Amino acid sequence: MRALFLIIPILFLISCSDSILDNNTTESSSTTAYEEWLVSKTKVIDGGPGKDGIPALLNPHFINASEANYLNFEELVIGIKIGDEVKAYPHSILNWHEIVNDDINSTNFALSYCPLTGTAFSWSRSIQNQTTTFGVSGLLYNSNLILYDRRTNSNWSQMRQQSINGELINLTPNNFTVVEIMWGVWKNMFPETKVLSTNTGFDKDYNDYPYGDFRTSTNILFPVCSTNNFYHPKKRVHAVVLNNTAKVYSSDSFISDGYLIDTFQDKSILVVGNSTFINSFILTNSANSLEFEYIYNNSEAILRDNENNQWNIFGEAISGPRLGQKLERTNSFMSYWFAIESFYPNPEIY
Amino acid sequence: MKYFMTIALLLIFNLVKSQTCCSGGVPLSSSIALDNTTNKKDLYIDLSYDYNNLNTLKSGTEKFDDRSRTRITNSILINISYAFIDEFSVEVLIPYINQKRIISTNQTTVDQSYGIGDLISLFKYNYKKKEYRVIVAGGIKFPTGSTNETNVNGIVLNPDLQPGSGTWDFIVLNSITKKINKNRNQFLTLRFIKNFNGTNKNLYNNRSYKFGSEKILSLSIRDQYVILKKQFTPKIDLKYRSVAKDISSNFEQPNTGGDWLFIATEGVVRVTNNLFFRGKFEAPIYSNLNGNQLTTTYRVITGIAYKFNTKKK
Repeated sequence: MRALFLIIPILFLISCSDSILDNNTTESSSTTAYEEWLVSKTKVIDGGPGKDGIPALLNPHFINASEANYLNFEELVIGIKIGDEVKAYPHSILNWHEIVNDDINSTNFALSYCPLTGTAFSWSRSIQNQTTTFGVSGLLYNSNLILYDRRTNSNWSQMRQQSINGELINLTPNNFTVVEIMWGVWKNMFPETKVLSTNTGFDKDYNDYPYGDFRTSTNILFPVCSTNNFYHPKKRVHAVVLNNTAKVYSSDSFISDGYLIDTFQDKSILVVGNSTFINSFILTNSANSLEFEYIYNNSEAILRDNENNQWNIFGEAISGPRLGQKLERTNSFMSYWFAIESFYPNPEIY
Repeated sequence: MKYFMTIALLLIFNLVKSQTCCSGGVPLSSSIALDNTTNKKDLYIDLSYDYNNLNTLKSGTEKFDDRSRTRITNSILINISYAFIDEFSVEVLIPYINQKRIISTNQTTVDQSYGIGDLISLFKYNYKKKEYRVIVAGGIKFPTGSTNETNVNGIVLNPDLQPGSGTWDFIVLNSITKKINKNRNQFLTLRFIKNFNGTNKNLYNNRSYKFGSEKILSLSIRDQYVILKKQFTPKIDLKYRSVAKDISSNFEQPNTGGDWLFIATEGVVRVTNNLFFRGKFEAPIYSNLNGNQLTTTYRVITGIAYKFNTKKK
């Protein structure tokens, strides 16, 4: 009995020593340090989890819409369409991974979603003729995701859509249009859609939201450069960015008509949507003379024009004499209001 | 009693690599107010190493099969305690801290900081009567530790990766010890510690940060034997720890704070009349965390202590 008291603490120490050694032997430094940043380095924040602490998805699995029983009608997804293939990426999974490295018909892209700013982008993983994957750097600028590419370790600001540090500093990626939309609406528009599976290879509870009451509270969690109380910080708005200035539209702007035509930076902007989605286009050349009618009725077509063309949410003519044509996309995205103010102070508000 | 201690020790041993618990930062409260200086002019110097391994990912009470993230706190602690009179003593804890964050995926990334941590000074009143001893103590944690350490890229690390908190905190401690066997040096101790944390208002980017205040209630039992002609004091400790959410710029941080129940075993060997060696192992047996957190998997403390001016009893 007495010997037991002496032996057991020693055994504990021995049992722990292996783990201590294991951790030390795998230690390595983070990355090659590049001093130059396009943004103030003091505004770049360590978000807490660390580099790759939030694991980006590398080989995502997809299921058919009919199999996605884990999604409710109202849940928000990010939708993308490349060629004829459409895919949906639910917020509930993106909240935990933030980046999905994916491809459609040999077109590779990284789809990113920042849960703190509520912004989603998709850009090509082919950079300077070399394919890479993106990971979560663990850093934030203006409370927004900073991605890093695994080929050069360069850091990329999601909302600036630009490399802000590293070998590829100043480079801007080639973007693809994504839309934020309620799952039920998306499924009605594109019944053939694939949707990201919860079978990600990670043990996560995707029904759980990892940031408490963040979506509805006035809490921003991390410092931002500028704040403006015109809207609740978490009001979801659609921002169009032209010449580094922004104009925001909310679903309140066109709730009765389903679309509006506005002028911003001398461009004619068509904004279309409802409380479940918003997208926008630049009306150029002959499209500027079209007269639109909002016709969304649980199918792919959302607008019809006076030439009897029907247009979908990606601005593609899906029937009519302009079949196959596309409206010019805007540099636009859905976001929490506070994030627009912090990246583009004093934005115009429709 | 012997059977109870034996069973409890075996239970702990089985838990070594299977249980979890504890949030980030440096839990120094458990390292103060050692039962050391109880006689006038006792001077007690304790040098210890504290290894805190956080490698368990939990949400509430649910544990996830994800070992890719590890947080390690290595602390070297110097504890100096001096008794002016039998009833009154002063204790100072000086920590040197290495905070380490390791992410192991395709590559391993390590961010870490080193430095002097926050110094703690504690004033203890010690009341002894027959089979009871009561300690009432209060102290201050001084903001001596750095809060702006950076990673290799020069980015300031997260507050819970810093050696210091940047705050003045207040600590109160009460403990009562009762001798439970008239024929042996067997004691039962109930201890309560509470700290009141201040807010660091000088964090970078005009950000303020307050670590969640902590409450600890522990019940321990210790015995004493002579093994190989050395005095050996084994101890078993059941500890409840409750930590409030951290507050950043007036808002609660969602994935901080929670409740833990730890079990610990400790052994102290009296190597010479004045020299002591101790080892402690601590592991959680229950935890209920706010949101998703990496939590303590186990904690090991070893130390040596020297007691000056001791009176032979």
